[in-house]
Amino acid sequence: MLQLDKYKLALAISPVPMLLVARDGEILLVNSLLDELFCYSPGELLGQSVDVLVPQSIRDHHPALRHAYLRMPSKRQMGQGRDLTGITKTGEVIPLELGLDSVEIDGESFALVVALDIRHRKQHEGRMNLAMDAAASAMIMVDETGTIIFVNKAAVSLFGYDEKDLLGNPIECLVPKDIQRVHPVYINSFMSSSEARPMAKEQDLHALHRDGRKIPVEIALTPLDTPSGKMVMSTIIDLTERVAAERAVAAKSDELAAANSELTQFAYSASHDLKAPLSSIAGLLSLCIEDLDSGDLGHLRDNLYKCLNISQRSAKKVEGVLEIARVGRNDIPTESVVFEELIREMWLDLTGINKNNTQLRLVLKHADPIEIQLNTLKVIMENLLSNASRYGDDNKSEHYIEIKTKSDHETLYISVADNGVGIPKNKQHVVFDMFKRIDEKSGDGLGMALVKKQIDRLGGAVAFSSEVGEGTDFRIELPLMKGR
Amino acid sequence: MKIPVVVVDDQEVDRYLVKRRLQKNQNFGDLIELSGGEKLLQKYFSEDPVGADVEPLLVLMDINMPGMDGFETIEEIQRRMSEGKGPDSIVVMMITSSGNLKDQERAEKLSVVKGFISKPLDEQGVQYILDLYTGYVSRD
Repeated sequence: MLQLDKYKLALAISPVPMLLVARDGEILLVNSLLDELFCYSPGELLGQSVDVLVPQSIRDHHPALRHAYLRMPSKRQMGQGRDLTGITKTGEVIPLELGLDSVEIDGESFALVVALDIRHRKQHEGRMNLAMDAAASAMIMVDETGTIIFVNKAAVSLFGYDEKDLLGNPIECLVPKDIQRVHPVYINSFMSSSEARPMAKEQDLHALHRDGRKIPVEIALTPLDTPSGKMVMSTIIDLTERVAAERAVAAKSDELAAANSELTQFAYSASHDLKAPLSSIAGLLSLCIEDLDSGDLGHLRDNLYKCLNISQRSAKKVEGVLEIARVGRNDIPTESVVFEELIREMWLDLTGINKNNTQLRLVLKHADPIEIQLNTLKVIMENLLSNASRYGDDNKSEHYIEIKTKSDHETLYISVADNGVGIPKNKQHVVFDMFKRIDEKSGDGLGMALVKKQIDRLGGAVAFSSEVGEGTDFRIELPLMKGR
Repeated sequence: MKIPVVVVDDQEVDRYLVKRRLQKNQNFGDLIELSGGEKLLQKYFSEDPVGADVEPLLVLMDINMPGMDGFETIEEIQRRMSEGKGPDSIVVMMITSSGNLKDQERAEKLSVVKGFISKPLDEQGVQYILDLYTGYVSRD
């Protein structure tokens, strides 16, 4: 027993809890640190089976594990990352890290066991995990092979997985398909260089959500040396909102640029088109003064009338410009409208003024009544009808305007076609521009600009096709409001 | 010899103003009114030009017109003149209420355009047209 005494001495001076176990599991030696750790009195454990130190849940198959170890003895290093537990006399289960060594004493095999109390470490890990769960950014820790070791709550919710679905799986399940294959190579190279750095600097980075959606992200990588080996902690920031906000800002900025260019165009057009009649009036009035001086009252009277006429027309034109500028300013309530009644009335008003023999054909297949802003629809239809009736082709024996409609739940489709003179190809791009007059029959160049603006405001669409000598076909889509 | 004048303007009142103004000056002859660039091209720059005046034709051209505008018309005139169509010599002046500098710059780049006159045409304007016209004609 001399040899056993040597071990007794060694255990006594060991700075860590240790015990020596016989082949059958009998505890032969313990040091005081082990007694303290497991809350036994000195000598109390001697002669007992080591299984008393093993929690109930694994006590039953522990003897088998012991036998297997002694048959194939091997030195088991500390820190292999296995979470083992022991049980104290008072019944407390404590996390342990165990080192095992097989020793020969007088020709017999014994197991020399080192038991390290890792409660502090576990507590610390627990606190770390709590802290990481509290973090707003998603955090994922992987080991050297890219296996997920830890995910925090933010990561779980960002990727749409349960924690248990991620732990132990390769990190590639969160990597977009197109880089899944090369990703392990990146991990390897990071593991060998191991400096904290952002992932894929200056590139648009995406992560893969459980539902297959790509999430724009920013990822910071931090290498960690842990008791369980080299790890990488990645902090993942979800950029979805930032990207959406950037897009919204870009869209807004485009909108503003468009509004600004529209304003510039407007200022240019207005300066010309509202100034032109004023300079005509000025010219006429200076002639009036000269005619007055020379006693030419006939010309004086004529020219004063011309001035009156121009100023009246200009006032109307300014009204028209204002009407366009006001589009979209106020929220107009919708009304129930019976389309055919509206068109018939409108047509009567129109043909009452312009004596013409234009035929109006209605092919109405929409569902009446329509729920729409009545005045807006009037403005649109009046302008289209008045244009169509004005541009009849004298070379044709009859002139017609055909209004076709259809509707579904959301949209009213209107087509206004005529067999008139048509719009020349080189003028088609200015049809909706303010103050652009196609020819002498054109009005003040505001009508179609107003139509387009109103349709845009309603969230609808307008397009046309036209062929000189054939006719013109305007097609409109207007969103319908739900009936009240 | 009086100066033959064509005024191209879609606004009847503006043609009338030019006509009345020029009538008060002895140097201008009969004035032909045309309501658009197409009509000018048709009348003077088709295959068979109408009327070959001894004096160069003075064309007073509005810029902003439906159909062909003043610039488009002048570009077409230059093209047709290079093919030998139209009168031997014309003096074109833009007459406009546009205060836009771009219009003025564009007019300066066109070789047949000799002047840029603001509406409404007044006595000084008429004198300016006359001076420009005689300047160019005597130089030829």
